[in-house]
Amino acid sequence: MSLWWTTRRWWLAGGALGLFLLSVELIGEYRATVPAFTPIGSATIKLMLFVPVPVCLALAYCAQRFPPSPESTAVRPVGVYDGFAVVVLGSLAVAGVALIDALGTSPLAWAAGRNLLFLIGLTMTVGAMAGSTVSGVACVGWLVLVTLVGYGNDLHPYPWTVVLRDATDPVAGIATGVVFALGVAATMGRHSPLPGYTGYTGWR
Amino acid sequence: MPFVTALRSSSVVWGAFPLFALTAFLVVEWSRFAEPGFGTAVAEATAFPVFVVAAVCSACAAWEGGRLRRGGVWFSAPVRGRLRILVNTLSPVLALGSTSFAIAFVFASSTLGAFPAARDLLPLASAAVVTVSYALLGFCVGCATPRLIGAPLMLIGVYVWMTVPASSDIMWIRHLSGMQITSSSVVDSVEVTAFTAPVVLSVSLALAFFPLMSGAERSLREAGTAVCCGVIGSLVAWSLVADWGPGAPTTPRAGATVCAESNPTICLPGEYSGEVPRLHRIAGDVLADLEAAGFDRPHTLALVSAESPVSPGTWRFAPHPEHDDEFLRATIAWSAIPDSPDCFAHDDGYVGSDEDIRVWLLLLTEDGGTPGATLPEDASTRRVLPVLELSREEQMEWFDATVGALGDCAPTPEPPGRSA
Repeated sequence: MSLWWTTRRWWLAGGALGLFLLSVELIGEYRATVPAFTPIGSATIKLMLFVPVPVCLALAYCAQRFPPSPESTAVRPVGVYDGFAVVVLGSLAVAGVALIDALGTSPLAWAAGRNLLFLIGLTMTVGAMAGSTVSGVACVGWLVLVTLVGYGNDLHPYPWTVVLRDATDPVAGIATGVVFALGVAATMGRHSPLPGYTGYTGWR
Repeated sequence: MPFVTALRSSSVVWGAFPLFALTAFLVVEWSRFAEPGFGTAVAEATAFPVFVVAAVCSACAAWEGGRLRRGGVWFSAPVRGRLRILVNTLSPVLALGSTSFAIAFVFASSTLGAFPAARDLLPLASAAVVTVSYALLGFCVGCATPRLIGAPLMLIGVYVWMTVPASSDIMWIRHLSGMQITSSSVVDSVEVTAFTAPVVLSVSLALAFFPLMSGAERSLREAGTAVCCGVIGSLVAWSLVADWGPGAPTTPRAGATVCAESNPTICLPGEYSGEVPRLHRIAGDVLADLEAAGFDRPHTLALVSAESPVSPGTWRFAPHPEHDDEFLRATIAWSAIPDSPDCFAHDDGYVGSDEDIRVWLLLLTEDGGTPGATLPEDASTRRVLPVLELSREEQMEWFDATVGALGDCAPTPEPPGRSA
């Protein structure tokens, strides 16, 4: 277990989670106007949208740090450990967000937490299917994509964007749950021979 | 290494098609609000997608840097020099940026129907240098971080840096990101400093990160020089824009005005010269009405920068080729109002307004019919209509008093007919 913990460097993901919670607390409702493909030009986005990126990149980095040969023949279910780690990270994020929300200092905290879970799910799913190195690009690429084409008439975000929707939006909530579950399942199954698995990427 | 070989194995192939499509779409969208036939607008439209081009190029460069890092190129003993390896690796990335701007130029030029002169290309040159600088910075970051982190970090980092500051409450930071937030007009040009400041910052940042390129430990002298480059460059860039407001400062556009001698002489930017016959026809009619009301006939109507001084016999006006005849009549009528300071800039509670004299001028120059027939039946029209029943001298006295009050930022007088 300690070898698994040391090899993955999970403390990096934990540090990124701390950075995420600190950013949620500090950024609050700060908004910025960015160029967007809408009938009336630029859209206003919340800067909180980009806060989950360090956590997702750190998680993707930790998850790809495994030697495939020893782990594919391991007795211990390290894939389940990885999935468990992702669930713990998500749970800690939700707990932290709930605390910030209880303090009442950051009204967008729940939306940031929902976005983090969605992007974790997306990162881990893409990582399992197309390789870890692509998963980080997929995560931030999603954010760039939705800010550019995610707004419809009256600058109202489309439901498919998920991360642009309000925290109380049920469709975005369900989509987040599904994608996060997919991410956890993909992480657990990554050590079985998935078709897209491209081998050990190393830490160099 | 041949360019085609470098391109085949490069990450730019993945990002090329989406980037080209995005670039074309962004340029066409931007051009909807730009001045047709205006060369500088073509260059500005071409430079507009820089926030996407620079972000993607930087991410691709970080990816390529990560490949060299993973391949251990810097730690082995390569036959080629480091600079040669850098150029070979980055040439597909630079080709991606160049092709994106070329596509942007083609779309901008065809949409706006103009071709910029050499002096109009400053926005594009600035965007190109900023893109190269951030690509180099991305490469250096990629050499020092795993690809998993370096490429997405540069993609989102450059994207956020170039888009978010544009609406920041901190004014100077708006002018340093490399994305131009102020556009030139046919009478005003954005100051050159607006293009040089982001270039200074991006180049100095690239130099500051340069020692990361080899991935090896650097001497204190090299690292110190790089950090000094970054700090000094950032300070210079900041000092260039430190006292700017929300928009970049502008200067009157040099050598752009063409005058058509007649009565009155009409001076317009070259882009609007096709409108001279229509303006002559309408101006003759409107100025005759104003003369009859007691105004001295101007010898020149000029569309020039607000910062350019004009002679006493010259009236400023602001026609546009897209205006219809009715609006041009109003534009010429309103040119009788002399320049006045922006009183609201110093006093939010200023109670003066030129609305009444504008309505009065419209009533004086109305194209036939009963007074007010072509104007909306609103409170302003009802308030000013009685003024027309006064003598010519009384009307001009009221106009002069209003103009004087606007010039002194004092409360403007009520229309006299109302209390009479």
